Amino acid sequence: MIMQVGRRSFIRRITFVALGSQIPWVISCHREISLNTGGVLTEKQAEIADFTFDFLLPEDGFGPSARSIRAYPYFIWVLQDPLYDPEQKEYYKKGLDWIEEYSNEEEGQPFHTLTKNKKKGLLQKAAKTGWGESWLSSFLTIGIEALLGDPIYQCNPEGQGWEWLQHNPGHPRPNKDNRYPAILQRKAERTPITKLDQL
Amino acid sequence: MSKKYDVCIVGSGAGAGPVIYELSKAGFKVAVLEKGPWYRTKDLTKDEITAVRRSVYTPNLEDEPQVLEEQTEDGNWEAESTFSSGNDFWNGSCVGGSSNFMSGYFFRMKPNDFQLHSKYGEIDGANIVDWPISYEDMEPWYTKVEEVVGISGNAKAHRFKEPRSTENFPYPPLVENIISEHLDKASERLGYEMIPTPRAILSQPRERRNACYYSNYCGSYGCSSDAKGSARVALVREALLSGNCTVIPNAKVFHLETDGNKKIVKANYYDAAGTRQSIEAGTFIVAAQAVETSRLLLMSKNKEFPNGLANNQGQVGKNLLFSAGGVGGGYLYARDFDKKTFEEFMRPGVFVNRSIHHFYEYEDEKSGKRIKGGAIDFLFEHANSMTRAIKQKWDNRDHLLYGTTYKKHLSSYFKDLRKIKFEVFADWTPTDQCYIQLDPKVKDKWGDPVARIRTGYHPHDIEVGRYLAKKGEAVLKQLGAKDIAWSVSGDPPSNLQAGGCRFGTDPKNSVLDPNCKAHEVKNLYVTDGSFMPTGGSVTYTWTIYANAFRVAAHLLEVLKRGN
Repeated sequence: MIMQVGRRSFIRRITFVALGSQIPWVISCHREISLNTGGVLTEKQAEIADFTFDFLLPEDGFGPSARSIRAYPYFIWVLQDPLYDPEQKEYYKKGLDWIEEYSNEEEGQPFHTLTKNKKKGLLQKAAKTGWGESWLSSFLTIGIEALLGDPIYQCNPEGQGWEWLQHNPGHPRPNKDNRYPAILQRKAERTPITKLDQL
Repeated sequence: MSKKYDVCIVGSGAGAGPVIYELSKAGFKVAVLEKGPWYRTKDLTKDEITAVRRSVYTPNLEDEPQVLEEQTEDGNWEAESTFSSGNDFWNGSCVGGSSNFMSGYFFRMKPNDFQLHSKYGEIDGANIVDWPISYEDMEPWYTKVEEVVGISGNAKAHRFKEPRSTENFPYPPLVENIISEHLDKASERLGYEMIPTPRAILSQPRERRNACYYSNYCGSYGCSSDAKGSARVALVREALLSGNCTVIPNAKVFHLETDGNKKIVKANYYDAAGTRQSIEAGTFIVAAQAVETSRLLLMSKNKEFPNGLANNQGQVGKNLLFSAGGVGGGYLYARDFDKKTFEEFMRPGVFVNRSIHHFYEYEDEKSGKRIKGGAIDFLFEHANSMTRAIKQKWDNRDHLLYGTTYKKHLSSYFKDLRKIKFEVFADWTPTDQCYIQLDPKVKDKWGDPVARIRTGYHPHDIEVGRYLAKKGEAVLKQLGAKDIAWSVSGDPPSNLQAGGCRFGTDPKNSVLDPNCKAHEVKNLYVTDGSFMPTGGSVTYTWTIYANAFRVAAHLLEVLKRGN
């Protein structure tokens, strides 16, 4: 029963994220438009997260970019997942605050006021620190999941990451009933199984 | 609610499946209490998020942690919850257990594995004993597994080939990558015998199961064609046809209750809603995988068994085994091979299926003593794309790669090379420093004490592992692989666990008798890998299946006698 409630909640959020997932693509041209924070990030955190994904997987003409694979909306979905390790989610968010603090310390101004080059320079500098490298690494892992995850998770549109890497993702692919976390409904089943036609 | 069955079985994996199958088919009313859900074949996809990146097939570590005790460099033991460390020790919590997610590399143990003490002698600090049964006792059951579970392969002659009662496997070998021929030639040049690896995967269809379709995703993934010989598909599902089998999913057994006369009368469990339930039966079988089997017996304390069920001699949980050894690998670069050959190497889906048993026994160069060696399996790096991409985040100096530099590196890793690997399997020498107990503090979500697992290893295993890894390295060099590296350690692989409830003839140093009935309990059998006093130098699953068929045959006789 608990899982069913969780699933309904999840679907509602996905619909929201799916609608919102178009926004980051738009703001690549119009930065003044707010990012969808998904109710899990502040606007400042959202902007740092979005820029960080661009920094890690840039639009450089070489393969897909964070924007084309929808890394940021995927990240919001991860943060909204009630089953995801809460400590790890907190770590992702803390790192965003650390970048803001680092910007104030190093540049004397908030991250969102920096030029694009200054933002990039700040993240390069952070990557040379222990805390920064570790946090950026965790963010890159999210980016990799978005690059190579199934498009059913609103990432890797049309399998562009797979195509770029000439990767065969295998079949069958997940559908709405057996994708994560819908498949977890099986953990709530109580009915004894005595016949093949129950399967 | 309580209902009386002939037999109640805790668990539904490789150790339970044969018993469920045989007793149901023979007309006995069987209840199966499985802690996890029943994932249908239609539930099983090649989705890496589900199968690898999230805890779907295993419990959430916050709800169900375990505690691992590891030895520090200064010799002390440090305990840490797996929830805290993130070091997940579960594998396959569902109907069919971890057999759903195995790769199905199947080998029989060899005759000498049943007599390790007699054949190779004592090792200081080890608890090595002979098995109370021989290879000859087990052979018919190995053969039965080939037929019932379904094993494909080619029983090629070699110096350590196990005696067989049939000429060959019932299913022909699976389709192989061209690399297999290259491995054959490389090992021939070195004078090593390379043999085909048998697989518990159907190469041809049979009733209710399709043949393998070479999906490229086997190990860690459930099978979408039912070709893989999981206990779920090959045995438990078949048992339903009898009309005598009831599988209760999401039923976590926490206590086995006795009647004051050393007989179990009831299994108490939590259902999916967390409500306490119970099942009554005449005979009880525990097969929850080695760690959880010992944990359940230790949790089932009462006046008769103050230290846990069947544990009045203090043997439950002792002499836990894993598989010793390590892994190695090298890279086949496009630049080192002609275009056509490299394209063939890159062909996805088809198997490598090659192993070396040439060093299952060897002579120590210094002492001249015969040493029990082990096996080397060859395989390609798993197709998991995220796992491979995540490993490429770091450069040679362990600095993070990102941006265009990372993207170029990643593209090259996926397109310009393929990693060929080897896995080394050696005996995990049983010692007093590898065992299961109940943790005094950490509880699971139901408030029960979790398993605390001490994972000490014997240094002898590292020596054997290194000897074998050097042979694997030599083969990869001959193959033309570059940048070869290997590591051998005492880290326990959680998916290869056995021991904890040894079988034997003396109740003072064993939990089970040779038929895997508990010495101290009238109606308790343990049929997972817990019974194994030593583990051989191959993966355990075939032996667990075979032994469970052997015990099922004994149980049928006992039950038919009404005893």
